[in-house]
Amino acid sequence: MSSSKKSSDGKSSEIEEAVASLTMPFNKILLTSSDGESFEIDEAVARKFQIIAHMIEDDCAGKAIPIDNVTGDILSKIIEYAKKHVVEPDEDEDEEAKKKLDSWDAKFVEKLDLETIFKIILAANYLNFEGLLGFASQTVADYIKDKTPEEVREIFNIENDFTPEEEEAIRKENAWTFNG
Amino acid sequence: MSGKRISMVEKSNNKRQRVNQVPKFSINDHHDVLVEILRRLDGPSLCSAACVCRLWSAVARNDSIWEELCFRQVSPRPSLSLRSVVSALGGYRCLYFLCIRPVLARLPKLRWTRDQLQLSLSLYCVHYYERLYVGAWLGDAPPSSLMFLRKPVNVV
Repeated sequence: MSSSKKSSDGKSSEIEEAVASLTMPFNKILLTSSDGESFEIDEAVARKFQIIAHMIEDDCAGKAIPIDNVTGDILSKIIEYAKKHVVEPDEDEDEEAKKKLDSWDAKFVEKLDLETIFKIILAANYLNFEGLLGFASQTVADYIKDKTPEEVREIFNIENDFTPEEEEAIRKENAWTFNG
Repeated sequence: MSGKRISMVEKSNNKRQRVNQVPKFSINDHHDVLVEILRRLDGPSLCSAACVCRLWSAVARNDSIWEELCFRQVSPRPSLSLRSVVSALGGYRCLYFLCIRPVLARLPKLRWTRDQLQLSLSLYCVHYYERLYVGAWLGDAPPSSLMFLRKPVNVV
């Protein structure tokens, strides 16, 4: 994956790249996944992962950084997201760009199954990539919004380990409506 | 193979696998992930989540999740020193259940802003002091002032 891959609308990505190149030295960082896949990315993109940003600051980011907890397929998805979000558009200043990015985000998760999203959350947590962690977690939260406990158990394949009495008490405690 | 087709194949494989074996990923093995997800739910969904299993019930008792829920639409954010006061009065989860939930249950479209939060905090204080003083003098009689939240009301 090389950095020369540009997004479809040329102008905004040109501005993004100009800003990135003014503020960061044009260095490349090599990331290696747990299963041996390598990804070469710009320093600006790598800095989205706080764990790597700290390594760069402390001068211990060598040529290649091993990411032992993340497999190649997940890492590639994360890098794809990071590249798109290198420069976050300000909601007040550039509403159009924010809307475009939101729609890209929606399409990004649409084709992912729940297990992949979990792995992305775990990896984003490990890499300390706040933006993607928040977005992926919100996606799963939206998925279980307004669902009954039975439906949630079905989705995550969780066993109901309450005793009938416990379940009765818990449901009563957490009831959303009062009957009189 | 396109990404969509891969995930579709994976989905049908998962369905078949579920009958025979435990799926590879279990959310209950990853406490951090569970907290991140529950933090982003709304009130009714969080109450539902608390009924799923023991682990989810325990995580849903985490007061910081309820704190975040109380302050989510409030801007600007209240100061952090508020946290110690609310904890002393019984915590955010209690605040939410006692003073905020009954209101939202009746007025689901209500926008929860600073004024409503201030009002609920005042009611919460009243409740606390009533339990402290009224409860102490009249035995175990429950404080009566907040019972109005439980009575059915003709809300327009």
